[in-house]
Amino acid sequence: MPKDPTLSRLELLQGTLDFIILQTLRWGPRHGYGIAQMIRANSHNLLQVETGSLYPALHRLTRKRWVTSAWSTSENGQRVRIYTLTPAGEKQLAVERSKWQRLSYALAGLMLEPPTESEV
Amino acid sequence: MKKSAMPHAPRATRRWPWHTRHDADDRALDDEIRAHFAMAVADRVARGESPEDALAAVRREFGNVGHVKEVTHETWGGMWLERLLQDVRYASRSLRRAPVFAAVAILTLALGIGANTAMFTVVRGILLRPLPFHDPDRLVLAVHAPDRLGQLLGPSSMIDKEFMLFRAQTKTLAPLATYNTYPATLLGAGEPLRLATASASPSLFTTLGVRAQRGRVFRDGEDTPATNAVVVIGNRLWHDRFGADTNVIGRSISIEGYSKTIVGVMPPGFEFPKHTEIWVPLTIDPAATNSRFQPVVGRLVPNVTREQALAELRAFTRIQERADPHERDEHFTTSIVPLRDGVIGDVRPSLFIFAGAVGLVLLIACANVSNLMLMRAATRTHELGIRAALGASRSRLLRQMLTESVVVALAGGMVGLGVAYAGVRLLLAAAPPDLLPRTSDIHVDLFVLAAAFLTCVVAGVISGTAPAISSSRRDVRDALSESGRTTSRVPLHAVFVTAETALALLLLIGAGLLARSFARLRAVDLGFVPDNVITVTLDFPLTRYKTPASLHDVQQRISERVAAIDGVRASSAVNWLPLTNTTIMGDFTLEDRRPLPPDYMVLKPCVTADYFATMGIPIRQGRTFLPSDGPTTQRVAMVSEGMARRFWPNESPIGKRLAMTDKPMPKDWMTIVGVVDDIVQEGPDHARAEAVYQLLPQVDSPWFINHINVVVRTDAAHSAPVAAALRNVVHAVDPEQPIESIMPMTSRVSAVVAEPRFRTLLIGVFSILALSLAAIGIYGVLAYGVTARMRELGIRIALGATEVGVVRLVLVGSALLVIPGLIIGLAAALGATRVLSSFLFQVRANDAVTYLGATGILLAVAVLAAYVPARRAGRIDPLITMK
Repeated sequence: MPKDPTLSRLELLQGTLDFIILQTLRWGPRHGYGIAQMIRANSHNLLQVETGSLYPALHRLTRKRWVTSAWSTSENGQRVRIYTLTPAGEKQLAVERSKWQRLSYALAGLMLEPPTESEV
Repeated sequence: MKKSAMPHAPRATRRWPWHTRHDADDRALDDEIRAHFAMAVADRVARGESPEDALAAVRREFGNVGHVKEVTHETWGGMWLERLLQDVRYASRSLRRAPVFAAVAILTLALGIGANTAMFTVVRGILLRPLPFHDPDRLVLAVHAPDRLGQLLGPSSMIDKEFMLFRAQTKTLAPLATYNTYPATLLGAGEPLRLATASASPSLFTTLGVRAQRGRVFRDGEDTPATNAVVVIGNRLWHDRFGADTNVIGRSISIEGYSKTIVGVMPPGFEFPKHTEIWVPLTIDPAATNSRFQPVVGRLVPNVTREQALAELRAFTRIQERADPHERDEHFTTSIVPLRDGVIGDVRPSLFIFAGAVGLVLLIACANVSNLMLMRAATRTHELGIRAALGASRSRLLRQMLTESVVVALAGGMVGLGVAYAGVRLLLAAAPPDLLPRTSDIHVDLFVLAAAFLTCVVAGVISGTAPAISSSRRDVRDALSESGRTTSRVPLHAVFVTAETALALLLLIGAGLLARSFARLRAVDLGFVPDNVITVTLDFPLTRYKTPASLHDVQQRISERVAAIDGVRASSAVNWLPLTNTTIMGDFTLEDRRPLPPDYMVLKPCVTADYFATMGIPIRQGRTFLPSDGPTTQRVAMVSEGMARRFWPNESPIGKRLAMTDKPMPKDWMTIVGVVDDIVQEGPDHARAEAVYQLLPQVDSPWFINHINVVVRTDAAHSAPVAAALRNVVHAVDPEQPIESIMPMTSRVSAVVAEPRFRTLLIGVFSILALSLAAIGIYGVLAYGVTARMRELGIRIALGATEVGVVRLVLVGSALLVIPGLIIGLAAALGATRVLSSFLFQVRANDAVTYLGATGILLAVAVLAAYVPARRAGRIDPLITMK
């Protein structure tokens, strides 16, 4: 894989990005742009998925058969590819979610310590 | 934007079936991204941005479309082939744009790969290819021979009578066969012809597991005097002398005067042992008093190991030795040797040295091509920078540059195959016949092609890696801002020049050592004067000359006519000439019955009266043989100086008597009449041998007098007509007598040093190749360096540097490149030339003269190579360069 500096930020998120996309598709089929927009909105505008990560991830998920895609026409007449979560994707999502929950629980325990005196 | 972003993308190629799927996917991805783009812009416009701002913002967000596509492609998998083809196409396109670079690189690698492929073909044929027999790994040689004979005959023989006993009882080796080889005269198929002949047990063919192509091989029982009038001929002989006649079976021919019927023709390529062209059954007479050592070959019976066979042979020989103890304290070697080792002989070290030398040449070629690529990469920085900026990842660029160098190497390999074909032919033609065994197994095959292909890929990767890494590492911004111009010096260049200088020096020193050794060999005083001596070798068939008297008679008649030839100064005859590969050695009995030293043997040549004068061997004491010494007068002998000193250190040997047999009869005693110098018998790398000379007309044993060399000393001007006259004389005396050879003695001297000469020649050629490549490399780097430093040098000149000063500057620069290489090369040579030690004669592997000489030559060549660019540097016009 290429080591391009512009990618490094998202590479950290690689495993997570797949999970986020699956999670997003749980609200219904969407095209790539829609997915990106939704991730941004749902992350309080903090997460901006770059196209350079989004499309590779979508194609990767398609290959793993966790999502399927079909061509359709958007409201303004654009030919767009719509991605849909598959049952296998649902299952994977459940796995990822429980993993994530355990991890975030663990991290919360570690990171969110009660404030100490020096912090006051 | 799209087009220039992917300059290496195929332009809608439909030629490859596997493109179809990816092309469709590719268009789909395009659509998808375009839709994304449009929606993003539309959203921004809807939020109130101006269309231009929206477009610019989205573009910024989007980054590099080519890159997006590329990484998405990678998730598709199965791309490597397409990408490889892309890279190959790209590489060949860019090579076509740089024809000079391509030609030089391809030719350089063609030489390196070609030479290596040629050498590998030889190595494969001799060392790697299985022997062309059935299940050859089960074939072994049984050896039971005294060590001192091992030196003479090679380590693979057994006494014929012992062979017969062992054959009758062995349970581990079946069938057991033996053979010996000699040149024999073929009559009845055109001109009389001397042929490499093998006398072999009838079972030899069964042992090897080979069948006749036509007719049959020998049958068991065809080895008695009553049944052995059969002969099997080789395929080449069948074609050359019998026109591949299918009715040849049953034809009668004469071998050494014996009439034989052809019963079989062997398949092409079968010429065991050595280069045999014709096979006759070997008849061993168990009652004969003489016995001879000859190779014994057997096939291990199934489930028997070599160790078991050896145990059986040891047990057998122990019983034999108890029954018939060896004379004196001779040490016998008993062993079971794979037939392969016996066939290959001692060529292995030579081959390894040749292979090592061509390997070095290839490395130098790679270094040169690396250098070329570095320079090319330097001029391509701009192009590479643009491509990196447009989204080509570093690994992609690297891969592409490597592909380019492998493409160059493969093209070089293609040309190199031509070089290899020619090289193998040249090598086989130039190699002395005794050096390379199995020549019929040496040819380019699939295995060799595969190896050549591998060599190409490896050579491509070796020569491409450094340039690829160094140029792909360069910062994009640097590349673009410098707009293609480069820094003046790239240290990697220096590394390659240093490396190839070191390698070339190593080879040059090796070649120098061999050449000096060869010169020493040629300078050896042989004890006789070979110049202006012509030799005629004659084998008198005992079927035609049945008595010693008839042999003496025909030789006498020939000698008289030879002496009368115009231009002949002296003439005589000898049975076994020096420097032929046959010698008669043995012991003798002194009159006082003093025991001889253990293992002591002397040469026993039989000569006629004028031999010493003809050969230029000085007489030290007493007299030479005289015409008055004859068959009926007192038996006379002459001894060589070494022998005289050994047995009569404080007195004159003249008048002493000795006999050639163990239990002499009165008629066997010979009186020593003179002492001559010791001479070199076997070759200049052997010590001079002690000898007892007998007078030919006084010797009656047919085996000592049926092989004769007429030796003639001529005036320098007369050698050609004398050679012709000699042939006529022999034919006038006996029209049916074949002449084995008419040869100047100097040719025989050359023949015995043919092996070292070949080795010297081959390594010499490789080292010259290496030297030229290194010179090209040095020239290339400096020429490039001068071009790159044009501005700097121009400024120097503008500031007052003189032409001489600038030339010196560049020359010093070249010395700085070369000198570390010389030092490394010298150090490497000190270690590596030790492998040459066994090939060196009177020269040590660390011979200072050779080392200094080679270093001097390389330095001179380097300065010469540097001088052209240096002069150009000196003539730079600052006005032009600095504009």
